Amino acid sequence: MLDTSDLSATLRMIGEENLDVRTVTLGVNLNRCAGQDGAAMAAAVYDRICRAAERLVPVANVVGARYGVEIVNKRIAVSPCSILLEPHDAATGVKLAQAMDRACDTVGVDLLGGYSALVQKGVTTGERALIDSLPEALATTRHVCASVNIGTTKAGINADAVYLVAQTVLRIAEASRDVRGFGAAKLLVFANQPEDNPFMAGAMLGAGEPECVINVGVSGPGVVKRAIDRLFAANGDRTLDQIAEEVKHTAYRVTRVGELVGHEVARRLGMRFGIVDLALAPTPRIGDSVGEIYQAMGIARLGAPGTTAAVMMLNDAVKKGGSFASSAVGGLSGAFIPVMEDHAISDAVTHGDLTLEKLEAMTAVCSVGLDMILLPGDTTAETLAGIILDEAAIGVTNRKTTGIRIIPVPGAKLGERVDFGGLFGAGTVTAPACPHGNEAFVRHGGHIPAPIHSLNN
Amino acid sequence: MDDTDKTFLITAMLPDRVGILRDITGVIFLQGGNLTDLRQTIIGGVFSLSCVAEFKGAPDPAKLRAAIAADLPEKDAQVCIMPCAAATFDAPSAVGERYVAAVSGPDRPGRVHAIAEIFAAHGVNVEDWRHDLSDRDHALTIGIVTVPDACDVRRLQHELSGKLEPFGMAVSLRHENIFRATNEVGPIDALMKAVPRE
Repeated sequence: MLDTSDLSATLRMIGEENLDVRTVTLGVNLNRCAGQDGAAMAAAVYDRICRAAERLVPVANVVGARYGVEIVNKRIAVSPCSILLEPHDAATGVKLAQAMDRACDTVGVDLLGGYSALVQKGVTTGERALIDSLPEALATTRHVCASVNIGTTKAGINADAVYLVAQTVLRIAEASRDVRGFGAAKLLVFANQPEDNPFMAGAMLGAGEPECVINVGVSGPGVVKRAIDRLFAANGDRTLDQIAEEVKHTAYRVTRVGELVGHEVARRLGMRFGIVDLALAPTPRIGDSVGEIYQAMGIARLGAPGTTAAVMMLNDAVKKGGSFASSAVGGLSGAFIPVMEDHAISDAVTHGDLTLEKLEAMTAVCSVGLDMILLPGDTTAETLAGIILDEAAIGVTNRKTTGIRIIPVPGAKLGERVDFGGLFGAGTVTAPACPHGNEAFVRHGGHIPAPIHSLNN
Repeated sequence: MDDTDKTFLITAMLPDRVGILRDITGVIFLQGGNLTDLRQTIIGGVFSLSCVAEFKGAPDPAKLRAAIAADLPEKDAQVCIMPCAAATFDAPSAVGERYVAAVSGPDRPGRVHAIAEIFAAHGVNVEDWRHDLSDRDHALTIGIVTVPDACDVRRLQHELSGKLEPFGMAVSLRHENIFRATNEVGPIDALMKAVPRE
């Protein structure tokens, strides 16, 4: 029988500490919609999404009400759209993205991911069409998110693709100049992109996934932060391993909520349950911040020496607690550090405590990468390509996912404040300490070979 | 002889002290009784016991009550014996799923009654109820209830909120699986048996 303290702990997590299910994401394979006629293909994609996701939102709402847990977002991840575009051009890609956008309106989801291309070893006709379509596709749709995987540990890094994507990011930002380059916030560039990630903007349904599947992303940085606060309130003399234990146990509870909700939504929809992504994903709200967790751990100024160790410890403890809580952990799973979406991290960048270089170091031990970072409008494609290459190198060598979501804000200068609103948050334009001098390296193009892992020091 | 002759619900209430449970269960044991269910708690300093015992023979309820009372030094001890068939205790009062109701906020007279009134109107059976007044500004009431399958849970939640939130109280009604999932160790699949496929 549950005792009062157990009941109270759960009530507190949900009612006071912002525990929610960040997303229930329906994976839908679109490959059956492929065809030579672009208009017919777009129509088939629209129908496919509408039918598969017809009951997603109402069922998720019923389950959310049953448990009194907010399922903040209901989303869709489709199989990589570049496959559908093989016989087509960029213009068809734009029509395809717009058809998917209309489908999102019809079924009531807020974002759709999978307008994606996997180009780690080479770029096919369809993948090139998709990349070329990105500026218009992202500027003319509200719900569609894109991703491009430019490297893997097995394949190395496609430097030609990196340079192409860097140039495309500038075109995307320019195409959405009227909203301060917001289009670039809907593109994630990956190394080792996971195939079952439910979080946006990098969600997609990979090649080995079922026809339809329910994946869940839980959150709860506020729960972890408050657990650490209580730990210190009970006894201020705590060691780091005691903090790690507290985080681990808390992550267990948080992940179990996602596991429960995911299983039930999948069962009600008659679909397979895929994975729980046990990420600590922040929002711009006070009390829903990963940066606040590091502060609670004793890093008063994010970016100070020791911050990377704190990220490593948190990320590891979250994975340990979460992996025991779930029958299938996947996606990105760990601690996110999206600058604009986390007020504490964003403030640290604004104050100059947290630099792009320190963020890069933190991404070596966090679960994602350089995420939601604003850059000056005059940032060159070579600088962007260098940032992507560096981040991909960390992921490829460390056999982990790294994602890059950088937004060169048209016309914006270093230190300028930009606000996208909502979950995308606000931030200050930053830049690498040394933005130039890499041009020759980037323009060489070609391919960075896959790293050897038998000599691993 | 049927079950009613052999099975008794026994309740006792008296000011708490060390050894009450020993005294009462000792008499039951000596009378040939075997405990099949038991709940004991202390409320406001008062020891409160409810238990079910099956006896080999068919003891006289009045003599059984007198024997228990005689073994307690407290003259104001309240002991009751109710003969009942064993099956009575096993039959559920409501068929449905279990939820946890929680109300928090400033203490005010009538709040438990207000909740209980709504539950009764919807056929919701209250199985366990705890009222924690250690902080009167944030009194916490938690109930384990069975909600009939035919009951519209969202309507019930709405009704509870509508009744209590105007008085500054936060109210929630959540399926018990969310509490079990976050507090128990075990596969989630085990909690899924009652979930319908739509």
